[in-house]
Amino acid sequence: MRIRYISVRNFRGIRELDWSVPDRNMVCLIGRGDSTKSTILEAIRRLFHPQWNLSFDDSDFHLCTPDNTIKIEAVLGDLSDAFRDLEKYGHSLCGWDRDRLARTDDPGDGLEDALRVRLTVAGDLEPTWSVIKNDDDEGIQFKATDRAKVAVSLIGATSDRHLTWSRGSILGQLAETENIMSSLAGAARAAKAALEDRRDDDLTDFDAVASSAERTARALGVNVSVSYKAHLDTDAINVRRAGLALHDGDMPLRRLGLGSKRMLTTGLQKQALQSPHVTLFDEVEVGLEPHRIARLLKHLSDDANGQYFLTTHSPVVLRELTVDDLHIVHCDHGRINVVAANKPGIADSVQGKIRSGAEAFLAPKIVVCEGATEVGFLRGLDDHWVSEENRNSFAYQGVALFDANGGNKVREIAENLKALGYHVAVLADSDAPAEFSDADAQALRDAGITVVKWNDALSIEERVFADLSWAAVMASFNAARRLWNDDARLVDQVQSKFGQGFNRDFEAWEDSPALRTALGKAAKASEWFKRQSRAREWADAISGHLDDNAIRESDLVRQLTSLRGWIDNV
Amino acid sequence: MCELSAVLAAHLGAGYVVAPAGYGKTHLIAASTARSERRQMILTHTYAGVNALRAKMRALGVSDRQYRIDTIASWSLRLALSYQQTSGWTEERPADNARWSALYEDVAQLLDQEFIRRIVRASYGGLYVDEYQDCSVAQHAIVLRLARDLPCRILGDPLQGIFDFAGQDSIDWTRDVEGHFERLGTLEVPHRWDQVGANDLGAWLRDARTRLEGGQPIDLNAARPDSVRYVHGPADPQGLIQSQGNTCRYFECDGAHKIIAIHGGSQEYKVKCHTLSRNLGGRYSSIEEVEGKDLFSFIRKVEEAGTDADRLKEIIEFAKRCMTAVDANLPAGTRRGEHVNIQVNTRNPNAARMANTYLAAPSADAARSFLLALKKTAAVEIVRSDLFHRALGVLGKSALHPELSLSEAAELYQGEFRYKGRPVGRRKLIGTTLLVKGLEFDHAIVLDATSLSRKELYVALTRGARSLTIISRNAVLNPED
Repeated sequence: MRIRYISVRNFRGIRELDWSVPDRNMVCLIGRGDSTKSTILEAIRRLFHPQWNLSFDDSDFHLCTPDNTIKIEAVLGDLSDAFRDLEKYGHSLCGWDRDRLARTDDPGDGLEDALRVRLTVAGDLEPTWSVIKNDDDEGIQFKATDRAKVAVSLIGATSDRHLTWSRGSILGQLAETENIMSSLAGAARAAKAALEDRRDDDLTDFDAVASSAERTARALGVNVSVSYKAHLDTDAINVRRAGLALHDGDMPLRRLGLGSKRMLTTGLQKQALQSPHVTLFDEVEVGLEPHRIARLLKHLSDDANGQYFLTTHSPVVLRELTVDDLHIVHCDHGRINVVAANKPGIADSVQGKIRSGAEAFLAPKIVVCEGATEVGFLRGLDDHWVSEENRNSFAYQGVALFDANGGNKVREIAENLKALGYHVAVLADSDAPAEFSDADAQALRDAGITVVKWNDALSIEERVFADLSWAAVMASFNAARRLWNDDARLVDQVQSKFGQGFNRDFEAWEDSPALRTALGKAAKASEWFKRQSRAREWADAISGHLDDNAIRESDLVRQLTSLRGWIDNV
Repeated sequence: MCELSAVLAAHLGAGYVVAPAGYGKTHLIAASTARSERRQMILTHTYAGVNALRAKMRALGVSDRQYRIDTIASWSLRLALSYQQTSGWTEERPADNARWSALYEDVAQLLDQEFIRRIVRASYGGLYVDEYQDCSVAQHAIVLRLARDLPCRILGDPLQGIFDFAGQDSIDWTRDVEGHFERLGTLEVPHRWDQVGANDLGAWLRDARTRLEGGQPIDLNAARPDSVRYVHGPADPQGLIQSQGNTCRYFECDGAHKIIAIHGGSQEYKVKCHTLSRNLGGRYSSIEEVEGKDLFSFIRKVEEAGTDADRLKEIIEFAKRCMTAVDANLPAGTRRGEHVNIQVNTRNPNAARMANTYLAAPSADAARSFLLALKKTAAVEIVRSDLFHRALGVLGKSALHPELSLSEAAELYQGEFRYKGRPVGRRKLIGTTLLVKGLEFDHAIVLDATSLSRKELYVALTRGARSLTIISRNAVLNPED
């Protein structure tokens, strides 16, 4: 069976979620830290919890307000005949339109038979599971044994339980036999007998205390039938089925590394559940090296029986997936929106972006940078703003930088990211209108995107060399000297841009518009800072000069200030 | 029969079995269900039929996972209501036969939906339909559709096809059954009679059946076993009534045996059942139709009565329908709907006191107590026990659910009654062919054999397992259709 639709009300961070799940074996949820990805998985787990005892507390309610009833609903498709049975839920089927991704009251031609199930928890904290047909239905009970048939399991950060034979674990599902109980009881008795053998050696101190307790008992008239002594309480020994665990030799497999445990659990899952199952994998990358992530994801995508819901914070995971697998979770004050990354028309371009700029997809705000220079420059500024001005880091503000790798791609990328629900800003040069024109910039602004595009058709290098104080200009040049370690070559490059009357002694350079222009052009043309690391060092060298009062009105500072404002306020 | 149950269980298409009355049809269904791996759906027409099938399943130890027994009506109604968007059906209680027919048409269309067919296939491994002769054409259309997706076995007896449903066409056995289904076999052994050692009666009935099927007359003067008694009924109506009364009154049998006296099914004879019961002064009780027209007319009159006095008078009127000697055993004041002062010489002080209580505070509970007090009166005999107990049941429901009006309580009771079936507590009963069809007794008295049609006669003759008494104005029975 497969989940076609999920709706959640008032569960933890989710006030409202309505999500038509795409028909894919693998659905990977991404989004910033508190976008409720894991809560969505937890909601699914609870809706199909295979036991009757599931405890809720006030903190499970949105904003901790139990007045707002928790309601978790799903539409199940790919139904097993057991659910179609008129003696089960055969009177309550609804239809699912796989093209429109919408539910209909009754099934019918061209529709998939589906079942609408609901978990509600009101202020009394008692969970109620039901199968409903209409909104105002009380529905009929959705029994624990039937919830178990949907075979939903969550592989969370700790999944030791699945490596034991406890009830409901994967191993437990493979071996449903009860005759182990007498053996286990025998083991408990043997432990007691073994301790008895050591009584004279190890328990004398305890028995002395027991004797004194016995004297007290007799003095108080409490009946003593034999005599008091210290002994193992079989209750405390607690040898139960859940105590049976997978061992490698004498070592319980729970001692394996987290990643190995999770990989093993997944493997068992796939092997155990030859029938359809739904597996929830929270933070799939935890404990795994990149090559093992790749292997695990391959393993999951090969499992045609499974519907996998993953969450991830890892660019490595994103690079292993296709754009069809990705779904971006946005949270706006509890209102959750899940957007498929494969929006028609932009899927192809997004696919490439995921490979090249995976990190950016994990943040809510993205600055699309024209090239490596801009990315490095902003990273340097981020360093400066954090260490020198005590401002919040880009990471804290949820800002990621995206290298568009060319001005001609900036517009398309920015529009696509916007369409996926991200907040988007653009940092681009304006020296090549054929690649990114003023009209392009205006179109993006009209779409609600903040665009930083230098005035006067300049590149970032030209803008910096034009606007900063002379000291900062020289600091820039010195940064380039450190990076290239070849003064003569740099001076050659400037000279070629300056032309007649150039002074090759840079120690003696004096501020002049012509020299600034030549420097900017040389930096741009010779790619002095065109690499993230170089641009970052460049920014580091000049960032101290940006709050110079004399240049407050310059284009460079005004535009950077507006970008910073977007970072802080959006 | 074991072989036949194997044939039925293994049959994958659609087939039928002709099952004469008392030949172990219910047993065959249960035995065949027990052989099936998947759950079988068993449809019949009445809740009495549902209960009989269920009891047989239990007796044979068939797990309740292996079957689902329902009436065609309730199965259809539930399905139509479950998928309203598709069926367009919203009535929870179809008002009359025309509405039921409309329901069946909607359900037949519903069964053409692929998703419904998937549901049907997922739910059941096969279908049995019992008492097929009672199917309407609209119900038959439903069965034909189900038969596309499920192995379908239908059982019935064309000779027992008697009906009461105006407005619904009944099936024609030859056209609808023999034309669509494969004959799987016939039940041959008269188990009902063999089981109690009345083999000769069984054999005589088999012969009678052959004659009725062939349109030949049955001569009651010809050789008969001892278990078949012929009482010549006088031609004049009064004499006939007297003869019927005496035959019932002086009928001798084991004190534990059940006796049924049977009239024809028309309105005229329904009334005659009640009259006969009254004449017999409580020795016999007449049974009511499931619909309970007299019950609901009583409820309506009580609700419509303007004053408490009128209400009491309606209750007394109703008591008179159900019991003998009511007037003679109530004070005149009570009969006028008045409070009476109880004195030493007051007639039936217990009942009068209850009537006073009712007048002081009219409640369902007080009405019930009054009726019970009347029943306990020494000289009063119950003649319509079925009706009386159903009225008590409604009043009891009403007392239990004070939030309901009396007629709502009656609806509630009626719903449960339909489901649970008639409690056949009384040993000696009078009823019409329509009401006793499918029921089984020890001794049957056919009250006026000459008045019965061919099928009615067959139903009447086959109700008693141990003996049969036929009152007839003519020694040769040559019934018309």
